[in-house]
Amino acid sequence: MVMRQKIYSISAAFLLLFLTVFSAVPAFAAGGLEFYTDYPGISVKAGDSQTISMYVSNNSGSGLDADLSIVSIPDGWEGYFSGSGSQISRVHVENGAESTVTFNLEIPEDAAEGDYTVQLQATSDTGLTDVTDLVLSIQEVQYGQGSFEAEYPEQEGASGTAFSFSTTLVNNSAADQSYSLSAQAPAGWQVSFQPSGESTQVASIEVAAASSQGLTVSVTPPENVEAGDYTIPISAASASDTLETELSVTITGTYALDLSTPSGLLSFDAHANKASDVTLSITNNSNVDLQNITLTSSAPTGWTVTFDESSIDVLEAGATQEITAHVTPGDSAMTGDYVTTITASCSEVSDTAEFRVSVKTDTIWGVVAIVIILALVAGVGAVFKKYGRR
Amino acid sequence: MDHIRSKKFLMILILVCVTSYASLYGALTGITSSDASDYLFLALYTTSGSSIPSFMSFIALLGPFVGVILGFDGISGEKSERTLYRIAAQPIYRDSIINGKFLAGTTLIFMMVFAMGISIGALGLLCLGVPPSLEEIARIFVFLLFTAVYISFWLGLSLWFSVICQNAAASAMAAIGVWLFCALFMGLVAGMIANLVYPMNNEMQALYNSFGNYTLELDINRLSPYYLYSEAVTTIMNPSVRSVNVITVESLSGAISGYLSLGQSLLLVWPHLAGLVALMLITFAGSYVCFMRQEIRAK
Repeated sequence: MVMRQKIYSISAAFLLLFLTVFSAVPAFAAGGLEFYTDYPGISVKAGDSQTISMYVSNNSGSGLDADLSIVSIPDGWEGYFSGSGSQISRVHVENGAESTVTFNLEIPEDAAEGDYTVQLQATSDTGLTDVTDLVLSIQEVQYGQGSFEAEYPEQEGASGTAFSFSTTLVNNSAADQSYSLSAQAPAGWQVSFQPSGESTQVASIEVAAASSQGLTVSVTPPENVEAGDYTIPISAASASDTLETELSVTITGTYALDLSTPSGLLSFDAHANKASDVTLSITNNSNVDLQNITLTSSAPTGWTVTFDESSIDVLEAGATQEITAHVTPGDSAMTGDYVTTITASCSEVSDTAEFRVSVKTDTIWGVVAIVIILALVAGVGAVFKKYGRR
Repeated sequence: MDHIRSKKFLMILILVCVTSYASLYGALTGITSSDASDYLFLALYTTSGSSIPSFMSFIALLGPFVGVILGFDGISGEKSERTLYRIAAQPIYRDSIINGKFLAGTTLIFMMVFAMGISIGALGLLCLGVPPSLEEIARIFVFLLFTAVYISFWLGLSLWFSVICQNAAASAMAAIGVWLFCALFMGLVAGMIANLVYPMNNEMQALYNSFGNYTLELDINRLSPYYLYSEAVTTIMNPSVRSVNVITVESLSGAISGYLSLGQSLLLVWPHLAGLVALMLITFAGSYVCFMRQEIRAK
């Protein structure tokens, strides 16, 4: 029993010694001075500038001044301490207080991937010292996909409008890239790319690493495009990337109706009280079919204007129809020129043609006058015959 | 030859020349101050100066005088000089006398009218420096033709009077009387008759009767060869004249100002031409018939 107790007591003494020795080591090492940071391990990027807050705390029983130094730093990296806007090398710490200093770290651009350790040390004049390790881990840049986006990808306009899309081509990679630009437009459509603010049309464009380039995409629909929605996929392809986006164009209906004659001649002759025929050609120049086109006229008082057909039910886009108008000048029409206006109109659009109608006197009256004169000459001849030569 | 050498012809030739050139002078001063028309050359004949009437109105007024002077003593002069029966005694047909009188006068009139008209044009060309277009030349030609027919009518009329009247003075008085009536009084008479048939004494009547009134006045006026001629040549010489009748508001609706072609202008005045030719032929036929039925004997 005595023996056991002895062993126990020895063990306790050893344990105590052990505890005393081992618990004394950190106390010695710090010596009441502590140098630490909140986050000793951080992830950084090559080329970054880091500012890391460091704390120096003093429990030594009296205020002390501490030297700050960099024990080890990877090649090419640069670091220094600063406080209150100045570069510093020493810091004063009151007893039982802590001071904050900032460690500035410049990481070189070409720093390779990996973990790096920066060892910093604070040493007081009284011989107390503390070392802290900052573990900086550089990971390869997570390069995102580039992007190609239009500001207003859906536009609307009448046929004949030239659409202009502002797009941005972003190169998120670490290397400069040359993108070739292309568009899959419907037949007859014209698509061109221009760098923003320039008038040069480009087929490909170089975009620097991690930067963007504005592109204006001009879309010109063909003249006779039909109303409807059109989608134009555009793409920018580089060696490593294919960026695509869709432009959408809505062509609204444009309405144009043209009233003329097949020859384009807008004048004709007429005789008072006699119908003169004039052929009208009505052309639908819009990109949609026109319904219920009616023909009306505005003629001088007493005139009549009739049409073979006074209305057209449906005139297809681009189609032409000919209609004959019968213009009858009134009784009181003088010889000479008159204006007769013929209008073709539907609910959306109308067109007017002004005809110059030359009213002519019938030649028959000239013939009658000549006949009268001849009759008179014959009468005088008869007088000659009756009374003459005796 | 008789006519050309005679003093009375010389007198009217000088008269016509003086008035024609005076009217040309008036036209030239009038044209320079007015804006240029599309038918500048025609304006030589139709433009009047500040105080001088145009060539056209001079001819309308003095033309009958020429005809009357040439014809008034055609037969009656021979009678009073007692030469008619001597001519009739010659071995010629009797109608040759009256035909000769008329044809000689007509030939002279045509020559004079065309000579005057063309010389006016030539002098005008010299002063204006603007050559006439083909249509203008044609219009002037038609105008001169109308003028010659018109003057020939007065020749025929005065010849008729000279056949009827025993002495030259009476025939001259009669012819000049008709001329004065047509030129001056016909308009007054026409207006009077029109007002009698379609009175326009108050606004209501004016509203209802004005068309009839003006139409009737126009119709009566046209009985006068002077008016008929004036209307015809105004239409011929002014291509913008579109109607010789009363123009209503209805006719004007939708009308645009423009020029008629010569053919259309001519068609407008065909009745006038037919009327003037008819008058000329009728007066000649009348004088012919009267002369042939007359007894010619030495007293």
